[in-house]
Formats: sequence, structure tokens, C-alpha cells
Amino acid sequence: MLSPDPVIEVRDLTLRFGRKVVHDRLNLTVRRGEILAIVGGSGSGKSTLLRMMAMLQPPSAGTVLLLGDEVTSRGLVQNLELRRRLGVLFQQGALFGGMSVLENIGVPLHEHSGLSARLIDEIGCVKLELVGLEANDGLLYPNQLSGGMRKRAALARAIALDPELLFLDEPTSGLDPLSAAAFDELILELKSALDPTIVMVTHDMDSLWQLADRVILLGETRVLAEGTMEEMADSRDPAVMPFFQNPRARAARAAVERSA
Amino acid sequence: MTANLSPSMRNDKQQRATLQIKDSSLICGGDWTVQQLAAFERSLDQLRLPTGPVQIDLRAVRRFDTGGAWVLQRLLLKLAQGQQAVDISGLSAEASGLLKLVSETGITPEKVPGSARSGVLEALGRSSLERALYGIGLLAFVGEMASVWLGQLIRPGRIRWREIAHELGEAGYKALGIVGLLSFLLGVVIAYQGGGQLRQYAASLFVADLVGLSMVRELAPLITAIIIAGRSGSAYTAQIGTMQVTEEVDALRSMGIAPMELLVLPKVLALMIALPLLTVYADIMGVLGGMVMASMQLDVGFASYIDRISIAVSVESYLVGIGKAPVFAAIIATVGCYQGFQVVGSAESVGRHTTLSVVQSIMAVIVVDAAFSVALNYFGI
Repeated sequence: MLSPDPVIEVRDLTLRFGRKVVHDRLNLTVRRGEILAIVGGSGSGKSTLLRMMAMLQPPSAGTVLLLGDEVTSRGLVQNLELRRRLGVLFQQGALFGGMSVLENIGVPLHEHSGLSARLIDEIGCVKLELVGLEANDGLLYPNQLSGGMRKRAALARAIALDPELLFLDEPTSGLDPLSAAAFDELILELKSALDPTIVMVTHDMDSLWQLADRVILLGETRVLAEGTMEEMADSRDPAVMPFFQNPRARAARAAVERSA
Repeated sequence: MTANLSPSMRNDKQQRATLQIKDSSLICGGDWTVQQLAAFERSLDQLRLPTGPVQIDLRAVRRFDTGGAWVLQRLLLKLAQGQQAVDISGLSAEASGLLKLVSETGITPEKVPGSARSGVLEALGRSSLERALYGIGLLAFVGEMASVWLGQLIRPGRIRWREIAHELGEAGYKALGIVGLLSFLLGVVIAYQGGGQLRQYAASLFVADLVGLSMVRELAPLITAIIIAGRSGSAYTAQIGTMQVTEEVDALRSMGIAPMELLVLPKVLALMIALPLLTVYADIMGVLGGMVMASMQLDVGFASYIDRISIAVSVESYLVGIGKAPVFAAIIATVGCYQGFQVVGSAESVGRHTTLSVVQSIMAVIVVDAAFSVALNYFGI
């Protein structure tokens, strides 16, 4: 499943807000077909890194190569073209409040496909079922949904165009443990069905054990460590240990090992 | 029979999806992706499918996504309805996985919920009910406001002077610039438009009557109220509405602070103080605008203009103008705050209610102004 073929290459990426340096000459590679998790303390710039990779925030310096193309030097139209191949699940869902769920999923389809409204609704229903919602839930409005349903609906919108690359910003935050576990499962199912490359930001130790093929730990404006979850958990590096050697992290590992 | 539904094939990176019917076989080709399916999708329902056993040939399909899988699944469902035997060939492992995925969702075209379109009568009923509920809600809001206010009058310690002062600054002091400019210009316009007519009758001096009376009695209160409705009424709705969306209003309630006391009453009281003051300011600026214009266009000197104003504008008219202002203020602030509390859920709702708040308060202000004119005329003031 894993191939060395890079989907995203981040080279010497620097981001400054005023005098505050968030990232300093940061390098990382995302391989095709993997689930890469970005972890780090609050304020370590996980989400901004995700935003830069998803072309939502320009870096102060450095380059991002996305699906083989350099992002920063491209024109607007080319970038729009490229954005169609990405899907982003935002932390709060970011569903449009004035539209029903089905209309939300239809937005990218209406914009980019030229298909009839009827077929778009049908495809929307297929996506709803794929994320574990029912076709009839499509008529609900975002403020009528529970937290778990909202995340699922947002995911359905993110995969509306079958993206090659899926960004997930804290997919399980704000969900109860049961919904969070079900959401992890859903991501795995979608991964095997549609085979997107997934880059996610998360704090959730259970999700990390469940999903991540590779983990990148951010801190002190750079990548502190990268490796599989096992490698991270066994690491003796003093910079890595606090994050993976605490009661919650150990409990999550124990749970995985029990079920294995 | 051959139905070539998409003869045009582009030789760039992406290819249009095609579907051809040849005898009893359906031949598919190109990119069966959502971006390319539009080529034949719209004619799909009119497609005359062959009867009897059907072969579906997918060998020429280069790309396949869930959209393509759904269109294929739709065809299969249609064929299954006619109980036709289907033989699919050339389906790649990946594509057959997608097809399986889509068919396992169990979606059929019939399962897609139609957006409930209501009839004329239902729409009429709904909108009348909505309006009635809105009216009742507004009445209840005014009632609650009054009761909280009375409570504050009994215990003046609960009056939030700091908030009132803040709102006074926001709605009053900061509006001086725009209110002054616009009423000055209004005075200029009235003098300019009326002056030409008056000069024909050699009655240039009466420009002071024209500007003075119309500004002081009618236009200054009205224009000030309209500016403030657009400036502060909308701000009230947006502020309370956004707080409603982010649950800040609930947070206040949970801390035992009545939103009515903290958010609504200071705004209403401050605006009821600020609007009469702004109206006086608008009176002065409007008369000043007329004065400048009168001296430039009609050669009416400042001294004679001011002399004439003091004769033309009675204290009564002046008080009538200012007396309307607190009423307008109460309307603007109440509607603005009430609309803010009507916001539910989303940013879109904030925008809608802000628009409603401005439209309704301006409308109410003009209607009440008309009522004032009729009533005052009746009493001969």
C-alpha cells in the first residue's frame, strides 16, 4: 500500500506571525497512500502546517510541493484546479449553516461537475451512506445535527469529489469516546474504499494508534521526531517522551495491544 | 440501433465520459468521474436501453470514481427492474470495489429525499403563522423588558451605568460625524431646491422658514433615526446574534446575569438619551447648511436668516421634533435587540436578522412618524 512516491513535499518551510516564529525551515514528506498524523503541543503550529499544505495559508518562506506541483508559484486558476483534488475536514465541520446537509455536499459538485441537480442529490446520498448517515438526514440543517453527525456530514462534503488527498483537522475532537472510535473506524473504511492519502492533526491517542501509519511530532518550530506509533512510543528521546509516555498515551497503547 | 451520446472526445489529460449503445451492449469509455460525466448524464433518463440480456463493456473506461460508480449502479438498477440479465466486462479491481461500495450503500434513486416543496396555501399559512408568532414574541419581549426596567427603577443599584455610558459613546458620540454631515447636506439641498422657487416670488428670506421648519420638525428627527437604525440597530442585532451563535448569551444566563439587564436595557436607555441629543445636533447642522446655501445662492445674510428662523420656528415645533426622538430610539433598540435574540445557529442567520432589523426599524420609524403627524394635526399642535 505504501509507495515512496511523495504526494506532498514541504521544503524549508518558514512561517512567522510578526516576530513570532511558528515554523523554522521545516521539512517533511507525505507518501502516497499513507495516513500521516501530525502531533504536538498546543501552539506548536500543527493546524497552521495543515493549512499551509492545504493551500489555505501562504508560508513566509519555503516551498510546498503538492501532488508534484509547486504551490506558491502557481496561478489562481491552476490552484483552483489543484484544490479540487483535495478535501479538507475542518475542526468545527464548517458546514454552511443556511443549507441542508445534502445541499452542502452538493456545493463542490455543482461548482465543478456540471451534472444535473438530480444526479448530484443522488451522489450526495451515496456519500451520506458512505459516512454512515442516512439519505433522509440530508434534509437536516447543520444546527439540527449532533456533534458526531456534523463531523460525518462534513466528511461527506470533503469527499464529494473523491479527493486524492484528504486533510483532517482534529477529526475526533469534541466527540464522545464511542463516536470517536466509530469515526476512526469510518476513516479506515473510507481509506480502504477510496484510497486517499490522509494527513491529519490530532491529539487523540486512540486515533493515533488506530489510524496513523506514520507520526510527525512538531515542537520548537521544527519536526522533533517522526516514525511509526510504536517507534514514537518506545522512543527514549527526552523531547518525545512527554508526549508518548504519559498515563493517557500508555492507556491507549494498552488498549490497542489488548485488542490485537 | 446505435446511440452515440457523446461523439466529442478530447485528447487532453482528461477525457469525456462516453456511453454508446450497440445492439445489446453498452460500451462505456473515457473518464467516468464527476467532472466528466456531464457529457451524457442529462440524457441518461431518456436512454432507450436494449431489451433482453445486456452486456456492459467497460474496457475503454480510463478513470472511475464514486460518481461514475453511481451512474453505473443506476443503470444496473434500471436493468434489474426489467429483470434483464447483465454481463459486465472490463471492470478493473479498483472499479469493482467502488461499484460494490456504492451498491452496498443501498441507495436507489427513489430513496433520495426530495426537497419538500410546499403548495401556495401551505406557504401562505406558514408565513402568516410565522408573522403572528413574531408579533407575539415581540410583544412578550417588550413586556419582559418593561418588567425588568421597573425592577431596576425600584432598585436603582441594579442599573448598569457603565454599560449605558459605553453605549452612549458608541451610538451617540461616534455618530456625530455622519449625522452632522448628512443633516448639513440635507439643509443645503432643501435651501438649494426651494430657494429657486422662492426667488421667483421675491421671497428669498422665507428660505429660513422652509429649512427651519422642515428640518426641525420633521427631517432632522427622521434622518437621524434612519442613520442610527442603520448604524446602531444593525450593530445591536449582529452583536447579540453572534453572541447567541457562540453561546455567549447562554453563558451569561448560566452565571446568573440576565441578558435583558446587561445587553438590552443599557442599549435601549442609552439610545433614548442619545437620539434626542443627536436630533438637536442635526437641527443645528441642518439649519447651518441652509444658512450657508442661502447666503451663497440667495444673498440672504446670516443675521437676517437667523432672525427669520427665530420667528419661523416655534418652540412647539422644536419640541415636537425632539419629542419624537426617544420614541424612535425605543423602536430601533427594541427591534434591533429582539432580532438579535431571534438568531439561531449560523452566521447566515445573523446576516438575515440584521437585514430584517434595519428594514423593520426604519419602516416602523416612518410609520410612527406618520402617526405622529396625524395625531398632532388632530390636536392642532
